[in-house]
Amino acid sequence: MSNSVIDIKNLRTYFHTEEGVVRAVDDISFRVDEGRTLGIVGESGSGKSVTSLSIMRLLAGSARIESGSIALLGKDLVGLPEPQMRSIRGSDVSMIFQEPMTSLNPVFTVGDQIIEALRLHQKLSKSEARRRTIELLDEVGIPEPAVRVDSYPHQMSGGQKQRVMIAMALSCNPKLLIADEPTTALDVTIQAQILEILRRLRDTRGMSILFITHDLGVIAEIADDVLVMFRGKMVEYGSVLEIFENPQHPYTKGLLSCRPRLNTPYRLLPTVADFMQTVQEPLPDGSMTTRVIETKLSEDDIRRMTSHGRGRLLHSKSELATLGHPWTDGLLAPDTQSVEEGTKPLLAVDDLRVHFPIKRGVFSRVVGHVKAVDGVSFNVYRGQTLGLVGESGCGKTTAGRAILRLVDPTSGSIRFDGIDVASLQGAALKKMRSRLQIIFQDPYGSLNPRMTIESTLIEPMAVHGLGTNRADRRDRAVELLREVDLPPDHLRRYPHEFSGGQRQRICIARALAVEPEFIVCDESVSALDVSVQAQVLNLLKALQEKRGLTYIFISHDLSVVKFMADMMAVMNAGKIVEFGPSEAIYADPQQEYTRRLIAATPDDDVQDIRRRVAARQAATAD
Amino acid sequence: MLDYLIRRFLLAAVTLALITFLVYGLIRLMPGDPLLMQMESMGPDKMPRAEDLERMREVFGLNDPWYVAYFDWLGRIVRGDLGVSLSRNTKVAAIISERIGPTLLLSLSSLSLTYLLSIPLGLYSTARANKPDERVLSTLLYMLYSLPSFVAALLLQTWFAIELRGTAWELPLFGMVSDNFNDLSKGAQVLDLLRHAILPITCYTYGSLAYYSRFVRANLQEVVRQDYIRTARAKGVGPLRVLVRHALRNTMIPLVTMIGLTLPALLSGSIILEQIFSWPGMGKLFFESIRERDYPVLMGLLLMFSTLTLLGQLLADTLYAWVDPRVSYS
Repeated sequence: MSNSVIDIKNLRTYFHTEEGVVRAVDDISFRVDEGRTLGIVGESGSGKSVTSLSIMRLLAGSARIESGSIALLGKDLVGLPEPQMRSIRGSDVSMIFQEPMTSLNPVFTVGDQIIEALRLHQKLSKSEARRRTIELLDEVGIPEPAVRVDSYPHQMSGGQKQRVMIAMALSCNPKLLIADEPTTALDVTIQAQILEILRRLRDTRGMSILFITHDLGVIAEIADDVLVMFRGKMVEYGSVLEIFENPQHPYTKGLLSCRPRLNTPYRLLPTVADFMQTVQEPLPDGSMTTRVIETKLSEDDIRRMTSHGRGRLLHSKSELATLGHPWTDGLLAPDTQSVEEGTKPLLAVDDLRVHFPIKRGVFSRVVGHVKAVDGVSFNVYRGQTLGLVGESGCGKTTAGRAILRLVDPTSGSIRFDGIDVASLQGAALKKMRSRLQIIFQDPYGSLNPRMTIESTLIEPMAVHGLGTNRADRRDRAVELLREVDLPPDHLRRYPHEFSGGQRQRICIARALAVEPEFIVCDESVSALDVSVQAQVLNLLKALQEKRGLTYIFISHDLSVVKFMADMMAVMNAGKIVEFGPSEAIYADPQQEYTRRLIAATPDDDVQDIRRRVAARQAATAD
Repeated sequence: MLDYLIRRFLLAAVTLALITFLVYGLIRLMPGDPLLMQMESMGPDKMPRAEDLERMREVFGLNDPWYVAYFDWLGRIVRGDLGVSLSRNTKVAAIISERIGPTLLLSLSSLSLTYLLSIPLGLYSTARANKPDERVLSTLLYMLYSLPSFVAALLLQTWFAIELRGTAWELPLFGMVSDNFNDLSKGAQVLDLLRHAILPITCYTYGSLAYYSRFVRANLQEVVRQDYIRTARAKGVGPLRVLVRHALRNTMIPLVTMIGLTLPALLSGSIILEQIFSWPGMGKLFFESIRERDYPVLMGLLLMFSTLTLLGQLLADTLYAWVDPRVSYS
């Protein structure tokens, strides 16, 4: 039996708010042994971050550890005086955070920030600390560490900043590293690199990791053991293989199946709500607790639930051949259809370019261009979903906005239903806007907080002259809310009264308000929890069939795009790298870049987990 | 950076020309005649004959339409000549340079005092946020902030110059120096000046003190919520160092920017306070020139203030790039 680095027993951390007590962490127990990784998985509000902040004793003002013990290397941290706690933070246990962009102080060089951590806990001279910092930067894979040590955070990419955070966290050789969603804000290829660094450092240093994430795929890649949290409670705790192979709790089952995977056969996704119901029950102290009632589902139930909907709708066979992905029976599902030869596309984009000028000098002379979109061509047929996938900065969002004329294209043509969108002006452009709509990523920022849901839904109708009068528009708004599965009596409410998933439904309803034919979904589910994401994806699919909508679905998440899209375009550096049927691109990628993207996507296939576990056991046995 | 500065200077020149043109027009269209005003102040029986008045108007260029007069003025400005005061018969440049010193004495000392006091106050109230002592301090500062400076000036005058008369605490009621200033020794002269300056400086300072310390506090409280402050705490940095090293450096960004924006205020002085304390500064000069319709002096002052405003903005932007490594103008 190896030694436990951290051993938590019956931890309870409550928030004392004006509305009463909130049990953010409610009776959690776990231990992490030397050199092991425990993954804590849960959705927003599940208490996973509060757990990690409880260990660090960095809780916000209203939060308090009520009871339980947190033994770090045998020493209980719960009652430890603050000065002693300070000498433990950053030394025995350190932490990296989700947002590398904002987690480093912008006014100090990265070197200064690491040097500070070193000299806080170790007796080092300035030059010794600097030398050590350069070694650390080298260890986490920063190129030219002796130069980059003097860089400011804004001069580095997101991935590099997260490497700096890791270097800083590891500077004093902690026994335990707490990583709170460390890869969530990063591109998938960068995420793969960061995970690799963490694994390597863990193994070379014999360090333990507490890895917190909402992403089961990432958990499968890095964790030895997994703890699943739901509304402050631990609902399941076991080895990674047990959790993925034979989940016991309905929440874990739901979480595992509601996530689209690259090899998902589903047409619709099961949701957590299919697996269980929750009941809120008051406790004697006035706080609320959640009781879970499992809904027993057989394999057949799940199959029935997820097999609604149409099969894939691909481009015509002749067009597929020109794309380099000819129709191949074995690759595609049996009920896959293709557009009839000679059908006119609803949207035809040809050699679209969006260049942003770079201006310099006294008279703002244009000295160059940022080629955000650089010669992109594709067709979308009525009723289809085209997926645009790529990493941040690849131009997918700009392309989507150019089609809607939210940014002006530099050159190229955009024909919608035979009309040249790129040259439309005034009334004609306004008319076109009602046919083309967009749903944005951030459901918090894209609703006006001072407008009721009713005004939000009615305004676009009034602008485009839909509905005869206010009462009629109101009726339409009620109908829209029903369509997106929200109760109609929510019309009078304001955006802040809704959860993220509900807000995104409102955004969908707003897009539908003008009865569009075509919707651009720009990272529309990226900000949502996986269980909510599944519901919204299902909703989008259902609406598409019901209303005959055509989508462009933009996302950085290959598995989500593959789930949603009939045809997929992989973008990199402003260009389409590969374009073809989603299944074909996944099963038989033609381009190196696509292959890299697929390889970097976290893999939670049980066979692969089993292989990784075996390899790890073999390595530690040596 | 050089490109940026050149562009800013070109823009500033155009802005300056537009400002002075508009202001010149407004001043000249203002009712009242500088010569009549002057004569009236000498007494009703001193009114000159109509033809003498006409001759004087001709000499001072008051018969030209204002836009013609503006270009005359502009022509002289380009040659470096601010003109001659109508009411004082002295060169405008000489009048202004005589008044700058007293105003700077007040504004510079009060600005330094403000910064020296408001930063520690802001730090203190952030560290002690929502504790009773912080609440009391904030309320006090807010009350000070709401009390107009002229009321405070009058209160201070009654207290220090009248109630405490004859004690060691007595302070002069007004003026910059005592009547016997020229007879005093060097050391006594400095002391005399300081004694006269204490009340005006206090009044100058306390209002902006409340404003600045609230500004520092608001910014600090914003900064301490940032992720990088959590990072600092997570690596074991203590509370004082978190505040002074990690938070304050980021708060300096808006604070330093404000220094640039206060530049014109440094020289414009306070019309009200200088009037109350009979302080021979720029504010008082400005007020008198408006009353006397002394066009050349007014325009000289305005030219100086607008130049300083534009320079102050440029200074603010430059300082901004200096304290915030993320900003650069190249």
